[in-house]
Amino acid sequence: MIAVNLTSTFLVIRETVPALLQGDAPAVINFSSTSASFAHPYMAACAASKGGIQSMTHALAAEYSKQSIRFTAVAPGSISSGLTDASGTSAQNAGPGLPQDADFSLFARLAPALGHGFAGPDAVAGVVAMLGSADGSFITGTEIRIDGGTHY
Amino acid sequence: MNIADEVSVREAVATALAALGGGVDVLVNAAGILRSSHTHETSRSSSTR
Repeated sequence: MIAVNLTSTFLVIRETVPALLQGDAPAVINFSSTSASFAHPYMAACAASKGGIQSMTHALAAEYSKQSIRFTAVAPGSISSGLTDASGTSAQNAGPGLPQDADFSLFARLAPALGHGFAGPDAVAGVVAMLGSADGSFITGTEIRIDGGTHY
Repeated sequence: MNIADEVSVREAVATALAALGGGVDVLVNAAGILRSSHTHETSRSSSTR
């Protein structure tokens, strides 16, 4: 999870920065997770990778601020997707597969406060689109949590 | 491509940039995997993959 989640984000950004410097109001949006800031039992490695993404996002925002590249992160949680519910077609999307003896009392909250259960990926896509657009032109070096209030 | 491999990423980004033919305005890094397990039962290869 460290390589696919964290190292890959670094590698892609490193290779793309020269082209971003030639872009029009360039913006980078990285995928973190609520696991970066809130306890998610049985997901320590994933949480570490997502925390690293948030830290890297902050550092890059400062480093390239004078070149006007914006770096932000989204932190989804309680989102139904191939990553979380095995609905994906990729072999990598096998779902989180919590241990059979998982202690659910260790989870502070399991359900979002809003709505009727998990949201779909479109709940995240709209925020990503905003961050990449002129509407997000004054946002950098931070993350936006999208979890329906699961972790407020 | 292998998103975690330095050479593979370099080649993929170069291909994308050639197709775009110029600067990049927006980059979204969305690749990710999630595996859950008891930490004391998690292999190094699983955690570092």
